Amino acid sequence: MPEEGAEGTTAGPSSGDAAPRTSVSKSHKMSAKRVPSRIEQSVDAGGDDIDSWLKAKTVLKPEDQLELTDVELKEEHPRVLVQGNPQTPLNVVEFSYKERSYVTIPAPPPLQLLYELQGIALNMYSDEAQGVRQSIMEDIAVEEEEEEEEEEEGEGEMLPEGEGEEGEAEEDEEEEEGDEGQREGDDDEGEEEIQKPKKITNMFNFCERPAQTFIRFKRAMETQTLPASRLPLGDQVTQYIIYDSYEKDFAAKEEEKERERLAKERAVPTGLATAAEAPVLLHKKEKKITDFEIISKKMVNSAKTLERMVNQNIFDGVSQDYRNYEDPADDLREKEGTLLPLWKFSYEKTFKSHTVTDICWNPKYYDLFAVTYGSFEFMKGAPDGAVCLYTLKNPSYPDYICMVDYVVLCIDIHPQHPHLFVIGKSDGNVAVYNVLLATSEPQFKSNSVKYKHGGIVWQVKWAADWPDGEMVFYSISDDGFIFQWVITSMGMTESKVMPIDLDIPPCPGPEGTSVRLKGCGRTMCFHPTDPLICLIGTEEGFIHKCNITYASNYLFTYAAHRLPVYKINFNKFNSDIFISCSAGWGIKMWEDCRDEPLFVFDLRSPVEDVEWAPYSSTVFGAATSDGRVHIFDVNVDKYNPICSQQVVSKKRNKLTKLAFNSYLPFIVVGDIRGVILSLKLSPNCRKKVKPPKKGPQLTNTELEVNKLTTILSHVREDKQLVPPPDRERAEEEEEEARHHG
Amino acid sequence: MAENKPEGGEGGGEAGAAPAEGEGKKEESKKVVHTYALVKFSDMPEEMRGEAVEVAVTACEKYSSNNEMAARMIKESMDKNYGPSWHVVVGEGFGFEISYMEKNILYMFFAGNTAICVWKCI
Repeated sequence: MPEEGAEGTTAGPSSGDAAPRTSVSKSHKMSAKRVPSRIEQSVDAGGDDIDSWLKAKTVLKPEDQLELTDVELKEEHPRVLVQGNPQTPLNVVEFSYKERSYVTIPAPPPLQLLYELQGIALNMYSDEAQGVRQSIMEDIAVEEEEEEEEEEEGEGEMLPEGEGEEGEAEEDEEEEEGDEGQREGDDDEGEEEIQKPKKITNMFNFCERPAQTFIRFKRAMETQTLPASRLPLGDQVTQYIIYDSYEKDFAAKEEEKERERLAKERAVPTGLATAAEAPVLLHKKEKKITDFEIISKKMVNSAKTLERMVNQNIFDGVSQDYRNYEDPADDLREKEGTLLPLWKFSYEKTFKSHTVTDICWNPKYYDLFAVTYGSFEFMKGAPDGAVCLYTLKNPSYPDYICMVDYVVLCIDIHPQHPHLFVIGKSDGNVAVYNVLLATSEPQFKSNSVKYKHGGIVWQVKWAADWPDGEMVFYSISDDGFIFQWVITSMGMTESKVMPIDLDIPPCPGPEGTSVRLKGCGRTMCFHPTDPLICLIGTEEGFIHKCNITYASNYLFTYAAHRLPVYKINFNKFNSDIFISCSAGWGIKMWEDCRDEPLFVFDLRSPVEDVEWAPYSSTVFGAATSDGRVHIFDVNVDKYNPICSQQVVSKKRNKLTKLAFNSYLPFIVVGDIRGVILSLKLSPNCRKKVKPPKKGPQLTNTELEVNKLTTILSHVREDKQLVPPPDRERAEEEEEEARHHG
Repeated sequence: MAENKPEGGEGGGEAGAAPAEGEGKKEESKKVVHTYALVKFSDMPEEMRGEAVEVAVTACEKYSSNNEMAARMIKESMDKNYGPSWHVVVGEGFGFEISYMEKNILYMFFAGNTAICVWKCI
């Protein structure tokens, strides 16, 4: 700043305080370059005064800046960014002692190093890292060995192992800390460490110690087994515990013996007990029954009574209809009758899930009927079945329920012993149940291994008892056999009665054998008067008449239908007449030993069931799978049903079974949804023959028989008509006769 | 169902003394001490159980006053018949809490005063 002071003095007092710097700087420059023009400068300084109030602009210039003229200043210099680094030295040479001359070395790469930090991390797989690691490990190993030796020496054998291990663990920790310390140290001088690895191992004769493990044997998964399972058991024994358990066991054994003795006593009579005998047995049993059971029995009885009373109130309207209502429209109509729906029966466990497979009225109690539940679709669903007994007095709940493990397809109640019924199951077994027994187990059942059918049991039928009182029933199955089952005091025995042979020549089997084909039995029906004669309906559509004592051949064969025969039923009045129905839409009425049917009806839907009415010789009912019930009276109309009524939905439902009540004017039908519907027949459907006013007095039965005979006499015609002789030929013959004459 | 005073009761020592008195009282009223083999618990197969019971009964009859020898005999014969690692407890009063291999236990009473527990566990 001395210059400034000097300048200020030279510039004079005229120059203001505001602009000393500019002047200074300028003067300074000028002093450097243009020293001679001092006067000009003073003038300039005067000029500056005018602008001195403006804020002075300070222009800092380097001392060695070129002074350029305006023209030079205005000259434009274009600048271009190029790839190359202009700072890069070119043609760098180095003296090579080898060649004894300068050699050019390649230019350095275009790389600008801004910042550099030496890292401490190493790639653990790199050779360097391996070297470092190994050296550390070796150090540790050596130290450990030394220490172990020391310990062993110091502590001796008496020390428990645990402590020794603990000691080791502690030492390990220490070592680890030490390692860390080392590593930290390494960080500082990492390069040094890396540059001089301790030892280069012979990689061909080297095995890492930490990697030495057991060599596990390979075993196939399949041969491995689970260890035997173990269970805990704990108990305490004292003399009194032993004594008590002996007492208890002995008491149980005594009781068992007593029970067996009782059962043995009971077994023989119950097998053949009739309804009349049963109460006596029940009475005997009651002796053993405790008070509680008596009370609960009373409770059940009164609850049942109450239930019936409630039902009576609920279904009062239905009962009134059943008792009093007769369709008034029948008076106006000539032939047609109607069906009036009454009660509906269903059981909650089988409702919708099971199909009604058979219905059988009890022969003794006409308000009681048995229903079997199951399914006709054997490929899917409903693997179990049930048997229920319903009474008309209680439509809301079955009187007797018995769940069965397989689909039940048929039932028959013994005509003389109405407490016994037999069922046939889809697995080929049959079982006899006794309603009087408290259990829901069958009283007799077929041996499910040896003695049973090989197919579905389609029908079971009680036959007349043998003279010595043994009960007999027959079963027919689609394995092509009819079995006879005899219930004796020893139990149930079976015998194969007859195979159902097909009437076609044997088929060639494997290895030159010939196989006799068997028909699939579907239904059977015993002759009402001759207990040895029975009719068998097969899946092939034949009806065979056979004698069950001579199984070798059929008495007669009817080529009845083209599809399975579903049902055969003998007329209740004339045992020569029977009716059959089939899946092939047809109902046919047959006469014994007559090839051609007397009547043929086509219902345009598979006919699931057909049955003669018990009150008339000419009336029969049929249920078709389109949900209709048809009532025919051939006395009234030979071609069409007198009543054909849709009773269930055609789309969703099908009828499966139909049964006439033997005393009351109504029928029950079962459907595939497990519901049994009872239908009252209107007066037109149950017309009876009016006794003739003249002539001898005939009983009702005789009248019915006569009615049927009359009808049949109209139908019975010789099918083979003898053609009348040709007229020409007759004339010729006459001429010949004349000639001869 | 033979009626006898259990001999083992004396061999049982201190533990056997008190219950023996109790039985004496009961004998006055009922006079029946059952001595048959009573299987209290067993999940062995039928055949094996029969054999094991027989072995136990034989051993206890042979060494009626020496439970240790009886146990040894049962163990050895079971080891021989059904492979090793059988364990046997024979005594008149004891408690146990064991784990056994499934289908390999027999816990029974015999002679009215002896409890035998035979089980297998490796």
